[in-house]
Amino acid sequence: MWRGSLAAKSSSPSRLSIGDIIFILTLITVTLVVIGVGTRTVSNALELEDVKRRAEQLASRFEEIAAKRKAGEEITPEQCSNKEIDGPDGTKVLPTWSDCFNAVTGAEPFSEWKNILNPDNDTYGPACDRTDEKTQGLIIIEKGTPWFSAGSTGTYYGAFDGPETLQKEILGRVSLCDRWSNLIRVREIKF
Amino acid sequence: MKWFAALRAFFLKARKFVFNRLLDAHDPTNLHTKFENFVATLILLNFASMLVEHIPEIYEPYSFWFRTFDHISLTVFSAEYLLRLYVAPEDPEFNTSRFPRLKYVFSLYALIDLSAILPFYLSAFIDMDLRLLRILRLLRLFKLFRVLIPAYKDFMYINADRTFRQKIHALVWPSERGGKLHEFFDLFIVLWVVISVLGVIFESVESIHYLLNVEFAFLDVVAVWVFTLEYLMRFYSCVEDPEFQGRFKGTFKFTTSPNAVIDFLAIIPFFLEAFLHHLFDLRFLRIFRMMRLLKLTRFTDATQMMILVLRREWPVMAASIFVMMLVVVMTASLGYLFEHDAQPDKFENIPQSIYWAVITLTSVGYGDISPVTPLGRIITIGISIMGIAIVAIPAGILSAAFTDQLRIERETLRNELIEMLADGTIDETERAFIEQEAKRLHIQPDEIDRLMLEAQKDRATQEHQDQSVVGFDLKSLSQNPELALNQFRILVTQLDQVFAVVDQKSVDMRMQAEGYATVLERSIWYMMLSNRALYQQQTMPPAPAPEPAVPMESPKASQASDVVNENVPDEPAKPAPRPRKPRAKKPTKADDTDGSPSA
Repeated sequence: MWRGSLAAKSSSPSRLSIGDIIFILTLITVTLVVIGVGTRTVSNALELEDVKRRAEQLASRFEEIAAKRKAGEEITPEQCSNKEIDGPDGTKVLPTWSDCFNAVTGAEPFSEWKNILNPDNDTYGPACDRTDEKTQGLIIIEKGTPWFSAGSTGTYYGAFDGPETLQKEILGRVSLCDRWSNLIRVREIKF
Repeated sequence: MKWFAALRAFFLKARKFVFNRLLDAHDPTNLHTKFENFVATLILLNFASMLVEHIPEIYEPYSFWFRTFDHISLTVFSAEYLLRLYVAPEDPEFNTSRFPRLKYVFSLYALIDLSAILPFYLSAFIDMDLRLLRILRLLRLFKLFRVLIPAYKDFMYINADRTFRQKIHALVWPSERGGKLHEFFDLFIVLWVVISVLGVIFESVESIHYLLNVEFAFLDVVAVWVFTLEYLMRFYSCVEDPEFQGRFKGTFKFTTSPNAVIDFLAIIPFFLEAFLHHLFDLRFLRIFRMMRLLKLTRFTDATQMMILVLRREWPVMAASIFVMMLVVVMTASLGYLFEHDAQPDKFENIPQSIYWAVITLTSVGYGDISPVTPLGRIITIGISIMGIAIVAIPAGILSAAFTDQLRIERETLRNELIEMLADGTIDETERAFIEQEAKRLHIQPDEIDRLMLEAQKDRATQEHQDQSVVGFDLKSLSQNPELALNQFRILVTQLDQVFAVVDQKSVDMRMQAEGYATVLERSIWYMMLSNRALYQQQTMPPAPAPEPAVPMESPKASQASDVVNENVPDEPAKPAPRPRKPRAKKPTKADDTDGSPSA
């Protein structure tokens, strides 16, 4: 068997050479680095899980309201009902999607939520934008618009305009933006 | 009581049989290795099942199957424990004790085995938390020590006289000193490559990624850790490999080798993304994690063979590719010529037409660009038919070359088998080599047996031919007296020819010297000498050389004697043809002198 190295020839089999010790230290260092980086990666993933749980909770809240409205039960907040509410100038107006959304997110526990991935950012937003760091960690609700083209059908999801009334059922989708502002779909809701 | 004794004898026999067939680690021919592999596989499956179980989305719909699998595993492990306990008196490790079973129960492996099954049985009596039970099930992993510890001990024994770096080399690089532990190391790396690549694939499925985001992140971290340590170990110990001699030169050669580059690319995206994510968006590097799949090329010769075949067939391939390119460009030009006016948006320029030509020639035919003019369609018909042949050429060449390469390698193995059979037996080293080659060439054991039979036949034929050339096919001679007589005549003739051409006086002097000839050789020499003189006087005194009795069955001997007869009067005769395997000659100075006596 060829033994072609200086260290191998010079060192005794029972003792570690300096090279061996450096190698072992390198292994330990790399292990520590990987543990450090890995801990950060996994904690990032766990934070994203927290955002997901919140988005799911918000989706469940809207589904709960939708179910009550369908059953004709009393709804709180009243901005999410089909009944007329007091407008800004005192007149009676039909509530819109943005009224309902603001009312829901303005109530507890949703009003207390801060952006988990980046506390400087808003908690809720209209859309994810990869070029905009301000959209990291946003929880978004998009409006679904069915389309039909050349024999195929689908649903296009985009930002709510705001003044949509709640007279007709609205198709929505709860999503969130991850650390790189990529869209992660959570759940579709009918409201 | 007689039946009791018979029953006891039967059970003792059965116990011995079970131990010898299933649990005796010292017998390489029994089922022990297969049994150990089965248990190890079951342990790994248990571990995988345990990991998956904590995901409610997967566990809840299939909880019945998970539980069933757990019960089956537990039954197998319990049966294994009881079996080992039962046959402990047969085990040399325990049978020296007065209470072999008791000694077994308190042995390390038995305690590990017990810890793997005990929590389940305890849970029947004690109200245990399901999560705790799951954690305790992790103890089953320790059962792997049953195969790992002996492999480690074996490895340390083989490498006892070696340095730390040489040990690392033996562990990570294929060598004679690697033993079973090296095989486990390779298996471990392969397993992680497969897990990691599966992770990357499933991560791209949105619904799965949504559920297992944390698990994928954790998996990637562990995979990177494993591969980084592997890379460093290879990097550190590469200089011990004959391929990478020299500290700096060897290390440089290693780091630039394809396998090392693949290993490096498999881990570097993780570190780049971790340290430079605030400067650049490096998520595109994640796709390089698929490079980990290429790590498997280290463990197979398929890539090497492909490179070899491509290199060998490159001239033909290049010619074929050249023709293909020519046809593509010509077709695209024609397509552009005939279709541009009719469809300026589709056949806008020649490069765009090249796309159409390639899609048509390769019979893919997406249909996004198609000819509408009559001439364009005629051209398309022509090139579509031509394309089948042109594109099939390189495929055919490659396919034939692969088959050819496999045939060559199998032929080489066959020749090596013939060489190995020269001594009539296959020793352990040769057997190991055959197994390794069979694995490399993907040859099944029955095919190896067939090759071995063929090699034996070839060897026998070859030996028979050798013997025929020498003229000493003893088996044939012993069975055929007529042939034996003829053979004897040939030999006498050859001896006679020797007498005719040699300087009898010089040879005679050597014959008398000590150590030049055996008693038998000396007797024959003098007998021939005296008899030949008498023979010459009586029968053919004037002849320059004796007329040999040439048998009909020996044309070679006849030719040789003719040559001698023709040459004797004028010049020294050529020697008779030498046998391929001559007897060991005694050293004589006369061999390299002019024939004068040296004594």
